[in-house]
Amino acid sequence: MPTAIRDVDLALPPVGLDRLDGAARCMLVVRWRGRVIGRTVVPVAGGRMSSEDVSRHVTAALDTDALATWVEEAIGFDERASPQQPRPSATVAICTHERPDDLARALGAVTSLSAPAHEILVVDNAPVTARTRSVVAQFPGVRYIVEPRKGLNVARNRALREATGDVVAFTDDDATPEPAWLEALRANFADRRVLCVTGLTLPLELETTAQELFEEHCTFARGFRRRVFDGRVDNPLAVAKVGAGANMAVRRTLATAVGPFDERLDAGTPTRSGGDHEMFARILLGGWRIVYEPWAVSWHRHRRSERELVATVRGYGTGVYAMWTGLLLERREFAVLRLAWRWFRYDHLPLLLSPARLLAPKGRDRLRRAELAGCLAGPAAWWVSRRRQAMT
Amino acid sequence: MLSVVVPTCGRPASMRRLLTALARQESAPPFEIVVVADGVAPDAVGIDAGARWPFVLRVVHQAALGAAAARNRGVDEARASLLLFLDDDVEPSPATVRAHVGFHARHQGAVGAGDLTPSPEAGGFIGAALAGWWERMCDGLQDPRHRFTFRDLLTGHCSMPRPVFEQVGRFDLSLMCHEDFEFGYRAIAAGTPFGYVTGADALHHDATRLPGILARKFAEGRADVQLVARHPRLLRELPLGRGLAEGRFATRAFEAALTPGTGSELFHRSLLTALRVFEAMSMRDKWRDALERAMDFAYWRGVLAEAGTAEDVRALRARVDPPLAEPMTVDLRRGLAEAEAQIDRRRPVALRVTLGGEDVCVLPEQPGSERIRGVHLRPLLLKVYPGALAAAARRVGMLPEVLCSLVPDALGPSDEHERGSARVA
Repeated sequence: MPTAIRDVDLALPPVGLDRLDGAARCMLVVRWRGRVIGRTVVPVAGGRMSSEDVSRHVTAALDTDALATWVEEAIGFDERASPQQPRPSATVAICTHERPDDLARALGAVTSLSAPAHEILVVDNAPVTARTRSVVAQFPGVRYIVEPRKGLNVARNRALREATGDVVAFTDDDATPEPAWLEALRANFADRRVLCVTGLTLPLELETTAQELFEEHCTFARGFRRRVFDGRVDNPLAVAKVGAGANMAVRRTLATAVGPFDERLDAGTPTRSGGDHEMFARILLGGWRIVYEPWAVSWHRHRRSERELVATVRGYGTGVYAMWTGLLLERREFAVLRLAWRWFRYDHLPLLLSPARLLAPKGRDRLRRAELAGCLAGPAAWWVSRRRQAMT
Repeated sequence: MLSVVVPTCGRPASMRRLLTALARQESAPPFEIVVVADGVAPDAVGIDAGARWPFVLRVVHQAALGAAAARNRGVDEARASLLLFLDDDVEPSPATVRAHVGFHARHQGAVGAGDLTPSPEAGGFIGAALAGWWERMCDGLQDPRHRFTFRDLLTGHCSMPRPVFEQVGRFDLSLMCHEDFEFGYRAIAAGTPFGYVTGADALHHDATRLPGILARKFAEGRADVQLVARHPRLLRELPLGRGLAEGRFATRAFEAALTPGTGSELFHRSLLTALRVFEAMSMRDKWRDALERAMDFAYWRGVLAEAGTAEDVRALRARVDPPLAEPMTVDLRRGLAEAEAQIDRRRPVALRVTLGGEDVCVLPEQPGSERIRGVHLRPLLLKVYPGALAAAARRVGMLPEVLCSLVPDALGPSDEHERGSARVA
């Protein structure tokens, strides 16, 4: 049974929830004056939930981070930048490949932002039909760019070259940013050492078991408290907690500072993912900062079928190991061996030691198995991708 | 008119880069440059006698007396009423001189802190660490809500009117290190306002390597003992008077530095070896720890060299502090704007914040920090005492009921105090 998703704003009078028929669970997204401060998944009985139950669940789910949001709002202080500091102009870029329905929803969101973008680009990556062009034509003012070379990172680099804004905010074609998304991202660039800002990504729908498993197993959400990752202080290789490329903004000068996105990585190449995390690692290795900004909320439509889910999770394993292979062989970052060992020791080794889990036909263990298979394929995928790129 | 004062100890390539950058200043009023060669042979300064510059350039030679003496000498030779201090390894942007002149036109009698964006010449971990230190030194300066301290006066890039320089009392010639901190302390004690000079961007091409870093730490240890002798209230503001870092190796570095001998030297060499091994294996966390301890060792060796004996060092650290000033009390019940206005009227050195009579926090006097301004209040509450504010709000019924259960019962105004003082410092 699906999981419903509902907003609960604590600054408003408590209300019960109804019209939850058909949902076994409900994900309560808790807000304070519109800002997300937490979430919890609770069981649903009888298709409704009383206001008392909602309050009880919400209170139990919150932590002291929610207090910090209240304090920040109560004293009217923004730690991101002083009011005198100007915000950079921002280009919104959507890299897409043959997903016109998702793209239409994403464009509807980015053309309705509370503070309009300086420009909106759609980079149509290696198109095989004209459907993407048709969708973009319905949104006046959106620039359509064809990038014939296949690969998500190829498209991202094209967007960086085409953009004219000071920062480029990337959103996936299957994501739906909230109206305040871009403003929240931009506010964090007052610190000139910040090269990248990532946001909070929540599930747009949890209609299928595959989507629920994805959210449970490899959620994009990284918490509800703003964090600054500093390459001079934090481990620059432990980038999983930084965020995801589905919801990130970078300075347009990124390529000058640390080089372009690695075109041997991510969707459209044998490595299948890892392009965003490799860039995060390179930013931190260069001594720059990345901010995780939970006020920059975007809703991501996870893959609906189990087949797609397994392929996605396997791709994540491949991408991470491919990225680590590159860092090890090209940058001599031996510390990735320790990361790989820890991942294997705590996630994959227990699976291998348990025949029942290893052969489980469904659920989390099946995903772990797919992830492990992807990890094992990662180094070879990096090698093949590297050779392909060298040949082109 | 403005005089740029540049002390140099013989880095010809850096000097040429600096002069080239100063020759490219845009829309700047006329200015002169006074280079003070501190114990440097004329041919090692890096200035071609036949070169033509779009400014008046004078080179003064003196025996090797140190940077403080060189800067004082430069001021003596300078003819302008506005002084801009630059180190020879700094590369100012084309707007720098104009930005400083504009800043002082708007802020009479202030000290202007310029930017020092690190661009270390060393690669690898040490270059990253150097850049990190410089970034932390300059962190927050450009935020108008920043509370300036004596550490914010960095003579590598700062400016001030000549009367301020003279009234504060010039650089202390007896200090071979931290003479800028010492000058900053006197300037702040005299009530001199500090400000960040927007637009005065500059790259700092730091050529220091590990031996230079450790030598610098040794010099800082010596200088801090001298600083405390001149200004006893600075003791707790310096590593000399603060607690040791957590972990047994921090204590071991302290003890080893104070007890010279074979074991001590072995400890030091082990740290240097560990640094090489950890970098080769790209183990950043371990490398940082080892570097911190190596620097601790060098620092305490410097302290020992200046203080005399280990007992003298311990006695200095254990010294009883002079009493601190009584804090001014502001209550937030009538709004933050009103509280900020009260603070701006009184400019206290210490502050007690209450909400409806309930204690929120106490910001004790911090020697060497500028008097508190209204704009300092909100960052203090959010970054240091959010829990205490929420707890006080709960006690007076201002916290929304749904959030009340999130305030830990045990959290009172004093619980964040220890952490708060450390974080403010």
